[in-house]
Amino acid sequence: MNITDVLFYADAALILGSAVLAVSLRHVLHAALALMMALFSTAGLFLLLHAEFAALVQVLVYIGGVVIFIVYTILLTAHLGEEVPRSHPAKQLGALAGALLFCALLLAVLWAGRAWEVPAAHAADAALAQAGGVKGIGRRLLSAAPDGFLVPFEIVSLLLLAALVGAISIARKPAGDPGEGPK
Amino acid sequence: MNLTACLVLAALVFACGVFGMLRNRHIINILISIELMLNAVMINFIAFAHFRAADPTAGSVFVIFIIALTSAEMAVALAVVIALYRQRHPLDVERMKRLHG
Repeated sequence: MNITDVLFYADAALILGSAVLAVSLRHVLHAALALMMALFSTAGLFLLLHAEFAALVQVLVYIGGVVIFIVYTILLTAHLGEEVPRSHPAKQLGALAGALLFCALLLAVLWAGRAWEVPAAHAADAALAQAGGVKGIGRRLLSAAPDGFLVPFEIVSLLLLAALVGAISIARKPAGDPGEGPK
Repeated sequence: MNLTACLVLAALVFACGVFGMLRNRHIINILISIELMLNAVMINFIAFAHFRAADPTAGSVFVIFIIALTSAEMAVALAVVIALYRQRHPLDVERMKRLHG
């Protein structure tokens, strides 16, 4: 067992632990912080898997943008300390059973997949080390060659613009709105 | 560290997300569970790109697209949450009668 394995298993334990916390903590704000922890340790896993740029984007956009946005929304909408009533215990048991069943199915598929697993072409180490880097990704994203991603890139930029406009127009305060908050 | 370990980890994280989505009633909790599930999918993409792909760059590019789509989705979803709050709807999904079919 080398150092990479140790790091991987420590990171995996961190991801799983904070994922469980994120779905089971009672307070919404605490759940958001646990989600932040899970995403951060996933960025660490990406680093272990030589996807440096993906790790960077994960930290910058996901943690720095999306999770902070979630935290802001929680602070804007929730009266701190007020909690949404729990689901019925039977329903919670059902949710647990459903998730366990789902997990068992996924693992069974993985187990069944062993049979047809072939040793695929493994990229050379040097190519692998370069692949997650900024340079290669930047070239691929903006190249019009058949293996480039120029068209999806432009479509995503359009989608982001549409989402931005949509989000602003949905969340805008309507004219003559007397106040805020549930009664 | 091998491909199977990464896939098992992703499956467990995804199952956590499913559990959270079925169990919680607060709309933001449900959004957090969706984030977890997307995170598991990204782990899968990066793991396959690392261990299998003849073209490992594509894995990172896919993850970047997923992150972009997720941020668009979350922006709209949280705008809906704020709009619901403004119109004095509860943020409990079982009491959102107006969205029931």
